[in-house]
Amino acid sequence: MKILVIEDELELLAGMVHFLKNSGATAIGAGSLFEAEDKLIMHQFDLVVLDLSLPDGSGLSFIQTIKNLQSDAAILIVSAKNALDDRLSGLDLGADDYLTKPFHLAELLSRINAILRRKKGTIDQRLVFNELVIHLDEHQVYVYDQLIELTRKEYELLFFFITNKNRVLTKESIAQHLWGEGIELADNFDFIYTRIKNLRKKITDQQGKDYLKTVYGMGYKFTDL
Amino acid sequence: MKLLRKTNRYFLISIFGILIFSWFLLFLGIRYIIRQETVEKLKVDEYRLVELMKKDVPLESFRPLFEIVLSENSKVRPDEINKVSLYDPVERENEDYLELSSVREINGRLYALKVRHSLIETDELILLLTFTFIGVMLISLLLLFIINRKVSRHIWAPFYSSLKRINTFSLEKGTSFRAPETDIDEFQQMNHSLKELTTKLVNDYHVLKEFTENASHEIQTPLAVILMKLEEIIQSELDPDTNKKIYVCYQSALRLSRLNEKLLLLTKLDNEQFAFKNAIDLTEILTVQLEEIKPLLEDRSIDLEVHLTQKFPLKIDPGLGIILIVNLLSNAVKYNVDGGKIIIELKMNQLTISNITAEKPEIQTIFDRFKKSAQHPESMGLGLSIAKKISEQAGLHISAEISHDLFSVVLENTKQE
Repeated sequence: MKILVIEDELELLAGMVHFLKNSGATAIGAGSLFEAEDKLIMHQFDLVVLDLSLPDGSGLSFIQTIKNLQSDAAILIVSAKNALDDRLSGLDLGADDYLTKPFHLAELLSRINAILRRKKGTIDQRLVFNELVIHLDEHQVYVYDQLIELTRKEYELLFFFITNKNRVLTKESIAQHLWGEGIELADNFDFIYTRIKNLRKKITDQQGKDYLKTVYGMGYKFTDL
Repeated sequence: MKLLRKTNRYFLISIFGILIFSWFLLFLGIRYIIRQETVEKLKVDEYRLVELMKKDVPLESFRPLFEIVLSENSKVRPDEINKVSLYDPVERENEDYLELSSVREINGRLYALKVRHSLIETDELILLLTFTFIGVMLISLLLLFIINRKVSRHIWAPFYSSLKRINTFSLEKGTSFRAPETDIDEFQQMNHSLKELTTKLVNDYHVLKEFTENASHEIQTPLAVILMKLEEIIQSELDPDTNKKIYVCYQSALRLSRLNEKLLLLTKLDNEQFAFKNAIDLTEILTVQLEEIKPLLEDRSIDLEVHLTQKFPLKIDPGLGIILIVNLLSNAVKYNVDGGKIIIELKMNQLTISNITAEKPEIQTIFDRFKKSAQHPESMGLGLSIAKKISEQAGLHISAEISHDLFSVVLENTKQE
């Protein structure tokens, strides 16, 4: 998985590149459109993470350049601009998804994976984590080849955890992943707690291991370490 | 009061004053001249009388026109002119005469002479003149009034045209004021000033709008850096105390970012930056969002009652439509009680979202910005103000009511499609 990250805020750029590398991707950063064009000519990428407001031009108009240079590369827009401004025009121009700044790194990875999976098509896709097997097309989860019944939110939760394994996911980032940005509910966290309890029980009922660690007060971590 | 009416009123008042004054002058002038003429005439009459007497023509008094009295005791004195009132036996009333009384020595004898001339004609003449004067003046006044009105209308036409354009001028449309053609210097100046003013206004407005937006975006970037770094710190294993502090920072930064986002949205709504062109069905959004929150409701055993038998078409930006519905539903869940109820009802273009609540919100101020519930200090208190702003711009009337423990928000479509 080769990813080009275009972002003029160097701290953010470094953070994203570092994070994506740690998650197993090959990530290269570019601080300007000029630099990005250079990198696009030199290397082949699966996905481009594109900031919209760059010092040497608008990211929206750069989408066409990306398409011309590498028609296969997926595009994920990352912008401080509100979704209400640019989302539609961004997607119209051929971007695959849109993420508003500030975002959780876990969410970034989750979106990237989702885009790349969509790009690959519907050939039998599974995600395996020890005894857990997720059939992505059917949204089904097997523990030791035994199907477990999960609600939609439980499935999304498990999938989010496995995508971001070995990482502390704050309750806020989980809530945002499950609900999007719109819904802010006081009882969100209770809801997450209940889902995680149910999820744990459903997995351990099938003799699966409990990989969900509570990180006191903050969130959860999915790990077999 | 209209300008034309006001100018006409002043015009009439002043013309009226001038008329009275000139009539007075005319009256005095005519009276003076007539009197002079009458005195001349009396003198001539008296002279003829004396001439006749000198020729020994026998003359007797002819009252009231002249009186001749032989008066040996009198002395020659200067002539006197008086106004006298005498009884006229024919008319049987007193009549005014102008009288010249003199003493003359004729053929060696002294005579007291009185020659008179009736003033009735004079009075009648003045009366006639006055009426003629008033008649002519009234007619000319009326003509002047009509002409003035027509001319004023014509002259002020460019002014009214400018006024109309200024009235329909809108900042949001971003078009500066277009001045109508006029050859009057003052109006040209006014139009020029208006044009400059509106152009500046439009520019300032755009600058301000951009500034607010840019500021908001610029704030998000450092916040994104802070949050990313904090998330990284959270990944490393620290002692619980430090962890807790970091987590508080993280939460506050998130909160700040959300607040910033909401304020930006409110600013954009205030600036009327969204297009409300395409009609969408609000019930579709409602159905999708209800599906989203269902697990939450199940967790808290909140009953959901939905009565949607018709559509709720609305001209609104789809993104805003979602925000509106999500805000209202979030509130209905947030302020609900465990085992409570949410009722959604649509009838007669009126969508009501009600929920059981244990709180007693103040209905009057519930849509105000930063109105927080005491039980939910973590809430920013912007949800309902955003909902209100969106509703207003989509032509919806939004209101809230509470009866017992049932709190309702009512959206009413006032613009019938």
